[in-house]
Amino acid sequence: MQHSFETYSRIFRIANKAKKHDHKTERGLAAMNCKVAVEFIHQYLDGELEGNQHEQLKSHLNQCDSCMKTYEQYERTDALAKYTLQSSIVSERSTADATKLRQSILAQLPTKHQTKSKARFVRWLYRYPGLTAAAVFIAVMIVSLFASWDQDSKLIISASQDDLQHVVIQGNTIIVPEGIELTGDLVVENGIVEVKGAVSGNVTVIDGKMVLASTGHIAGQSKVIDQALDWFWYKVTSSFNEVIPQ
Amino acid sequence: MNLLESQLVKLALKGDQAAFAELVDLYQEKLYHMAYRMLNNRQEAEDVVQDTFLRVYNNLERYIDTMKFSTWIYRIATNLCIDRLRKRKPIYSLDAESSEYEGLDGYSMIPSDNRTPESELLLSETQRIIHQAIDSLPPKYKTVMILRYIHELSLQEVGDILDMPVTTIKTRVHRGREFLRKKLEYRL
Repeated sequence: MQHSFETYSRIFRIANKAKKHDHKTERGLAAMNCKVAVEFIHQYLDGELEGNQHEQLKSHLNQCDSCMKTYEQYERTDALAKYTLQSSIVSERSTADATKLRQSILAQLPTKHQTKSKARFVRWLYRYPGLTAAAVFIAVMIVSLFASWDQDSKLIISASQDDLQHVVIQGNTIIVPEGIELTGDLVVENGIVEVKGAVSGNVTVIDGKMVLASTGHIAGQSKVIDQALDWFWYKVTSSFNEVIPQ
Repeated sequence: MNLLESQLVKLALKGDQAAFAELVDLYQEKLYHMAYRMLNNRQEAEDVVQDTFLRVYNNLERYIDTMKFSTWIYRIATNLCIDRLRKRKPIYSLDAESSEYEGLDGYSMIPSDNRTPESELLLSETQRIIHQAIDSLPPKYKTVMILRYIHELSLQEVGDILDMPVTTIKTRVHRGREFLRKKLEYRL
């Protein structure tokens, strides 16, 4: 039936145009044009007409019989439609019907107890998407950090190429021999460091021990890291040192 | 936001079924009324009301306080009705060509159940025309008219329910009113 309604709207629009013309020639006196008046009538019936527009519409309706007729018809249409749509149906439906429907609805409700806390959590996530994203980000960061800390227990040495040639490795002990001077930093994971010579950079030992012989000399800082927290702190400070060159 | 309703929603969220039952009591008549007007069929209207409440219950955690509860529940119900009307549509267009006269149009094709014949007698010719005119409207116009006329909701509320701008609702109300007037012209 969409068809009939649309055809009808088209006809209405054309008819409206014609109507407007008639009125203009008929009564040039009317301050408001009939098209505007019809718009105002609709707005009035929708309760959307404002203060002085009431007066404008009123004075037009007093002058224009055709618009007055339209207004009366619209008003009756509204009243009849409201009456028709609101009446009859409620009285036709017994309270028994309502109770039956109520019961059938309640009987179908899934039990929510098991999922309650989950539901609340999910709702929280929906409500604060920003916080959720931040929490996920932090969780990922922490996990990756611990993953890199707890990787394995292999001996890892990091130093410059030249320095590595001078270093002696015995089992898991790294020895900086006497009379040798390392120019850069030395970082050792999971091993023991014996410094007999000199190191002009920093010496860092992670999960290991450092032995500084009487002949040894470390010009930079020496550090032994055993704890997760220290490891974390080391990561943070070292990345800062990388970012901000001294 | 209605304080009682928001309270009931909170309780229902905690698993309080009695609170949810109260929401059912508050809205089932209104929803049924609307659905019956939309679909013209008792059984389908009951189904829509039932589906609406089940959806409400299952999505309570997604309900956000910024929207009125009534707006939310009407939105769910009207969407269900519009879906059903759309599914029916092919039947309509098939016979739309053959029936030129109002008395024979889609109204007779609707799977209606006249359980109480008395009610038919009570309908005046004017009322029958109104029912038929509203039924012949496309679903979106129909919804606007029904929400406006049955529940006397404001244009803003209708717009919120249908998720459409108020200006669109306004135009539809105006056109719908004019359409009805034209249908009733000789009886006004």
